[in-house]
Amino acid sequence: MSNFISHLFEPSSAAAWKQKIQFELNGADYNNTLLTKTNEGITIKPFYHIDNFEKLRIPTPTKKFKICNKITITTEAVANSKAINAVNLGINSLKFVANKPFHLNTVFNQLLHKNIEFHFELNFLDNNFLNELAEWLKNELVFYNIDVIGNLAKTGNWHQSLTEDFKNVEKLILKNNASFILSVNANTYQNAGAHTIQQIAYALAHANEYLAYFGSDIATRIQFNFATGSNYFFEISKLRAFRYLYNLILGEYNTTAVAQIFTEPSLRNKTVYNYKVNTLRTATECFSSILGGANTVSNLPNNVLFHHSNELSENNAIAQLVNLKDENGVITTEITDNSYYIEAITKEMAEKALAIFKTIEKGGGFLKQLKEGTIQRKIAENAQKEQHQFNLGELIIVGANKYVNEKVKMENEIQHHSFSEKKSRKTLIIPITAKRLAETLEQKRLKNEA
Amino acid sequence: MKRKDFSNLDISVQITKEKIVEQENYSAGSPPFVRGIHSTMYLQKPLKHVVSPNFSTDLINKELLIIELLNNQSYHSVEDFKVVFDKIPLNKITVTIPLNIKTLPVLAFYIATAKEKGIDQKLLSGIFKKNILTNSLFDKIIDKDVIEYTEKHLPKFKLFTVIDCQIETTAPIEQKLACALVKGLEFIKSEIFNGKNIDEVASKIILNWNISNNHFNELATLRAARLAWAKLLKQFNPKKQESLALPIHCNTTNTLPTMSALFGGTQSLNNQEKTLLYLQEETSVLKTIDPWAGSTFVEEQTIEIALKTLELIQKIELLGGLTKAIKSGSLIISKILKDDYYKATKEIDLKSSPKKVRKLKEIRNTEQAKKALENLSNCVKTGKGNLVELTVIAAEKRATLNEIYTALQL
Repeated sequence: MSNFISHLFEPSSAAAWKQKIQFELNGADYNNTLLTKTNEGITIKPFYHIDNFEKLRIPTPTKKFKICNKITITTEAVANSKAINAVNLGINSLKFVANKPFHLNTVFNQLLHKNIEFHFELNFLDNNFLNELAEWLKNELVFYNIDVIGNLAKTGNWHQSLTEDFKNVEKLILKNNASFILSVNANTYQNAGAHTIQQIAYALAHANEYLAYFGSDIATRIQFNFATGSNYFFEISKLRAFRYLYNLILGEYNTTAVAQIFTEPSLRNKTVYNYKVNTLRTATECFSSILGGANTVSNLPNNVLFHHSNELSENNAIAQLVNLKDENGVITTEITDNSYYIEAITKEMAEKALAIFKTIEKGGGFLKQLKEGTIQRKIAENAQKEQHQFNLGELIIVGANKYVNEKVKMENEIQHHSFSEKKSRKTLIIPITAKRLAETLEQKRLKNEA
Repeated sequence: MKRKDFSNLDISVQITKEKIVEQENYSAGSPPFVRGIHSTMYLQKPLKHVVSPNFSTDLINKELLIIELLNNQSYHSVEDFKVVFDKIPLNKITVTIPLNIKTLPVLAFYIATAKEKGIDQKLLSGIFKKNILTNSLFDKIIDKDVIEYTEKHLPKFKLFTVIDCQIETTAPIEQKLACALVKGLEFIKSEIFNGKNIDEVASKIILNWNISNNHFNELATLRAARLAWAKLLKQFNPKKQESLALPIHCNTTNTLPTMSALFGGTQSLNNQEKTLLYLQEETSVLKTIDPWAGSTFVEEQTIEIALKTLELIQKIELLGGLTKAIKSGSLIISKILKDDYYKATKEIDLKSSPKKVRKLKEIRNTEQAKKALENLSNCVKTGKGNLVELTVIAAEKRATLNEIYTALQL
């Protein structure tokens, strides 16, 4: 095998390749013509070659990824029947979203002892309810996703107060030391417009607040929630770079961990008009999460922005995940190993994210910078840059600012408010709010339909 | 707890690659072309999107697309073509037409449409794709007439030979690839035997590939196809390096297979969905060449598929070629392939004329149409005249698809 082609063809180096390209460019500038500069400050080269090989050793999970269906609890019975349907279709992880305590026996009817992972997104902090939930699910793998800092970042307020919130979490951790009580909701940063490197750095700095408070024992008991955008190879590299850095900072705590990662497609690039393209987006987004090494991957229906729960689109979202799980050959994180491009981007992201992380720590840590508004300002800077690029048509969203079908009307399709509301309530800090790139444009378009 | 000090923390980078597969020491644009046939690939040579004429018409600049003309039963006459191409500047687009007897009327409708829109046919651009499989005697006559007509009237049309393999999707991928490449090889040998030169023949061959759901397997196969092809063609000692490069056309359905095609370095893609637009505009996947290169998983699959394919080709050649290999039964090639290979053509569904056609027949000059069809029919019998020219005339005189087929004795 070592002499399969080398006796027939001269090997060609990276330098020779570049020279050949320059010759063929016929006077055009190599850098201007072929390099792509991203908002992260990364330059994508036209090619990556073995001659410039670089990689980091990434700690990756050994178990196969799980596929998750997210269910918002409106009534317990409906939530339960949706969950059973999802499991029957091949889902092996469920995430329940609730705004208030719910009846456990109805929701979990026929779902226990089936090797299903349970995730929660509870928009309230109620220790009595959580203890009851823990008792009910004591034989299951559970991710409670309690993120008091994340809640502060997203809403601008603590549930009660810094002291009370941390005390409540501490009690929960002590009582349920085998479960994943905590989470770091880095998806908030993505959906608000942070770029990939910011997301990595903020997730780390955010987690470091918990490590500093609760100690290194909780390192393996935090779930990291990321939102995935459409820049395919960057999203793969983002999760890898994060895994690397998380372990790197844990070294300072004399411990190691393979980070537990949950992903969901971003809402930032999704559209109301031409919403079927959302299906294409979620397809690549879920795939890149898996290749990047997510432990659990969740999906979104293509009409999630404007439609109430709808069986067809929900089942399609599930089918997309089931296909990834079953039909596309063996998909493991090993596939990315040694890919020149992915390894190079991973390394560059890790390098740059580490620098941001260090700056945050030097400035007193994530919580302090959140209170000061520094994190918000940094995210807003990138979000505005992206918005500007979108408005100019440099950042393209198919069906929104390019390939627009003006004939389509959506007014009668919209069942719930799909645009972020401006709430004028008093907050302790500036909240980090989600904003879709096509939002303003679509709002105008909708107005003009009338 | 006291906050940790991270100021001295640094990443540790590894610069040696533990496992290197032989083909990794090469670049795109140079033999064996495993990383792509052009040195800059999509950065300078945009991927060609092949679509049907009614693909989301208003949204896309048609000049960026290649419009595929097939013998679609919804085109009954030149009138239907005029509707489809109503607002499209025919002198600015490129069409592709599979070259066989069945698509002759389609070509004629297209030319007639252009003429009636006042566009000189000399300005029309197109690609004829000839499939070796359907190379019956009758098709050879067409070839001759088409080449003659093209030289005279369609200087911007190019002729390519398509190699492919329509076998069961469950067949091992190297079997499909071997079958396609062997066809190409046999074609080259026969052309060289007929006095053609290798550089001329090789530059007009395209691999046509249907992408399945096995994402990484498929993308590795496209890389392996180029690798194996370069090795196979080296024996003919072409003068130009590019003659060793295999251009690929892929047919895909949904998102992941389309990505396989792009990551595998395809030149053109047939996909009727918006998938390609999304991938091109939003995912940044075309910003770097051969993005999966170096991945040990992908490189090992690439070489494995290439080796197995070449082994199989050698076996087929020892048996005396593809036809004999299939007959001997010593190859595990599926039944579908056999049927396909022997039967080659052709079932045309002559449906009863719809309303539109009846209306057309009422308003056209029936005498003239009849005469044109008669001339066409005589040409088929006697071999006198040019089939393309006569079909164009019949189309102009409002002969219908079915009438033309009848005249061509199909």
